[in-house]
Amino acid sequence: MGSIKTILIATKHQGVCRVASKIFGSEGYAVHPARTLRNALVEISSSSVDLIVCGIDLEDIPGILFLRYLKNDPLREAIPFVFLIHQRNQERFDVDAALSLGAEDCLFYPAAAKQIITKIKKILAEKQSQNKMQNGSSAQSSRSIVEISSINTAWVTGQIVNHTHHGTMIETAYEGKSGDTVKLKYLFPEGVVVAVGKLTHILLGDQERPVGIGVNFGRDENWRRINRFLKSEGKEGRTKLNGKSKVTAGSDTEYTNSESLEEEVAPVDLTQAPFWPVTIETPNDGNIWMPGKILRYSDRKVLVRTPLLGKSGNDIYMKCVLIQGQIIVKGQIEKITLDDLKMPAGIEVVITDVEKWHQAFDFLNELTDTLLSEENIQGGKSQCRYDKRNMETLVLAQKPAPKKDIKFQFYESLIGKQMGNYEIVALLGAGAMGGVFEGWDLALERSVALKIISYELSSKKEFVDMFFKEARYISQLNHFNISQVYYIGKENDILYYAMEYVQGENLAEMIKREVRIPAEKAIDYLLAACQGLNHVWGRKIIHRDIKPANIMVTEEGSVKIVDFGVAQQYHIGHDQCMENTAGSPPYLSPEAIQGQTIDHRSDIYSLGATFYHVLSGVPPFLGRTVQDILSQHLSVIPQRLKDRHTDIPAGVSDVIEKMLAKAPSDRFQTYQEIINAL
Amino acid sequence: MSKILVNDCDNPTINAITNFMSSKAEIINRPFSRDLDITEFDMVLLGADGDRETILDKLKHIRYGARFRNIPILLLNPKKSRDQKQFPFLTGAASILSIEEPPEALAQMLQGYLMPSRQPKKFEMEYLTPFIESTKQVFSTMGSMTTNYKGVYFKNDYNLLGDVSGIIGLSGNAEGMVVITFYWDLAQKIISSIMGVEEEEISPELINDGVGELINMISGAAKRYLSESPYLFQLSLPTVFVGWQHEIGHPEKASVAVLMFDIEEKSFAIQVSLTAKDQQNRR
Repeated sequence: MGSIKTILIATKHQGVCRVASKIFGSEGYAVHPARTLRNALVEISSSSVDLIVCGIDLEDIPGILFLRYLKNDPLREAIPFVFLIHQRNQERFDVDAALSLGAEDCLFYPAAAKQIITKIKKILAEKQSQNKMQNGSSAQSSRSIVEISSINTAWVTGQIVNHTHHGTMIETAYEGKSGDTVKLKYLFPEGVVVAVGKLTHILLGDQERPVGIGVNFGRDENWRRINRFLKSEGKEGRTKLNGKSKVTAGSDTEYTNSESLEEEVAPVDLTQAPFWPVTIETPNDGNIWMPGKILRYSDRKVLVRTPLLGKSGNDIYMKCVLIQGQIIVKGQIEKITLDDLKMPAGIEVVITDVEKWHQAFDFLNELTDTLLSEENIQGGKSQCRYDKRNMETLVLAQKPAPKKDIKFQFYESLIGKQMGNYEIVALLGAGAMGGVFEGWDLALERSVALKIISYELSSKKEFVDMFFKEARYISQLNHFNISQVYYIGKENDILYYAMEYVQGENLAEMIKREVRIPAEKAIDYLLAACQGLNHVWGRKIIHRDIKPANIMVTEEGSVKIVDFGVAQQYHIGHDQCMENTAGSPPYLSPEAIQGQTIDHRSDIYSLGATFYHVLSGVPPFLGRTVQDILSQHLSVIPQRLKDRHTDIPAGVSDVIEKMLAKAPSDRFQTYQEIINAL
Repeated sequence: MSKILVNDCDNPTINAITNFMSSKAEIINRPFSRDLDITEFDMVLLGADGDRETILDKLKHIRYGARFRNIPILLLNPKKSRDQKQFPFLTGAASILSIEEPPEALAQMLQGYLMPSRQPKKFEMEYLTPFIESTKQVFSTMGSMTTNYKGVYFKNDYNLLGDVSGIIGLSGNAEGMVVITFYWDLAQKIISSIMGVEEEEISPELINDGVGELINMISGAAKRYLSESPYLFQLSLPTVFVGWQHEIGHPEKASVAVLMFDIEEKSFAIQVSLTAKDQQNRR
């Protein structure tokens, strides 16, 4: 495989990502996924990406535009780029356009993984040999040496001291006068590029001899390419050249060299762009941020479309998301326009925080170079096809459509409604079984937790029968460490039960916050959970869904086991339940996975897995798929806790290990045994 | 019995809805109309078999016809492919249902949407009443307008869309925010009346000043009513937003009361989300 190690998978489709990860992962490549342009650029900047495999679309940009962007970037253009497209999208995808923009190949799946790998290996091998050939000339290309000439005169050597998107300061003995048209020659590895600009001023040294010049290139495309390349080579410092600046065209006014480059450049109009490349938010008094779209910008001013109104003269802040992170730029409202009542307002902002704005300005320029190209705006057949799609992307980006599962919408629709004696106040969470709400008991005037069973389950007669039967048993549970069930009901065909409202945090939230819970505290929680579950077992009930999210710690520090939604009572005359698998994969016992009869020792296993997670910060088994995790429960011995973290007492590690024994008979047989062992 | 308005649905869909809902609600089938006042209905079911622009346009007009009332608008899709139709949520549809869903599940979903809204609790009316009174008073004194309070419900979804909103943050012993939301036609009339200008003279700055001042005065007057209560708060600076059918979001789990008001045939809403720091004790 040589030195090729990292493949970036850029796609919004999880399916493509899965397919590609599987194919390339199995060949030993490191696979980095990215779903947005920003994520992809961050990955490219932070990792040494050897190959980009791109799907038809990223979340915020079509793959073809991502390719165009990269191929216009001297730093990244050399990274081989391959499209991996599903055959059903073949019609939508313009292979010719992709290849003409510089894609190495377009692969279509489902195809044999072997074929894809063979092609990828070939591409990487070819690229590697090209790189070797080019390495010899790369040293020269990183230098900032240029040659300057006015039209029809000889070339003079100079060195770029600082540079921006639109201009540069060059240390050179070149003589001329302000306003002269000058050419700048720069040697790239692949050849010479000439940019044409206007000489803005000349710097004079001690002997009144020219030591440098300032040149403004306006929107010269070649200069932009040189500028990007110099930036990528790390030559973007704002070093000053010592000397005094002189504008010689009919004026004796002298400037410092930094001032002289601050002429406002012509604004860039984004109104015709396929989409606005960054999201800008505008706050009022620092606490309400609203989305905005940049319509036009220059190095001094921005026209933003935003729902936020304001007044001329008011300060305004704009939050800009750049590759390197988020910055907040201060400005002042100059003018507000509201041409169409159906559209948000247009606000013209004069930038007051110029230094910060330059970062956003450069970023915008780089993006717009790609996005505002002729082909993108007016262009050919292949590009037009993307414009509408991009606009849709924009609409969604500006006001993200809540991509709600239909069940989640159903739960949300219940907020503010009344069910029997209970008012539904707020949705606390939702899972496969149903939604959990904060409710209010009208009769007893107290908060309750309401579990509303999903309509899919509650429309099945067998489930409804089981639900009522089991719920009757569960409602008999009355223990300090168990959230008590108050009421079971059915309203408008909706099944629900009301239970004790526990204010606090569950162990899953606690793990999320603290990563690992200290052993001393975890042991207290485990002891309390054992006491609660011992009571449950005493009533011949199995919880069947013990996991961190179902163990709450109240604000006072008490432990409560919650959510008996899938709990079952042993069949009469038996000490075991016939299992129809329920529960969460990371915590499921082997016998539950295999659909065997289960008893309280299945809960003991799940409790062991739960506290393994609590103590170590990770569940006993991790896997790419549910099947991976389940198969490990059946056959793999988890790493010992004390080997993972030396601060976990050996005794505690041994207890958890025994709780996680594969065979129920090898585990603790009662909760009291666990309590004694702890 | 609840009333369901069915708009632009095909016959099989209407028959299916009638089959499993006729015992629970009165089904009224009418073609879509732009200027229909739908406040007499408890739910609207709109056929979603059409192009995107048409559906969005219909949704917008139905939403105007709902006049800020808590009337769920559900799209009925003949087929199960919902993924391509996420867009209507931007325009206030509560859900997209498919007639291909199991009838029991579909019936239960519809019944869920038809369930009655909860009534405000006593402690909630304690802080809502001052906002109702202050709104009436401010409109009367500033704009010589009579407002009719039409009731309160608790916002349960992103379905209260407006064209102009003024928002003010509340902080102190009680925290939250108050939002006033109008559609353009009433907003223009009110701003014109309050600021003493003709409707055609209304500029962005007048909208900013007028709506900002309105929400500031309503909240200020409510603050005075509540000065002796646990709901003591300070006001932030008002902020005004514009944009056709925008939605103001609220913090997750916040309880948001929507107070509905009419001025003649037009409506506006005030959303109040306020939590006293000792609210748990007050329950």
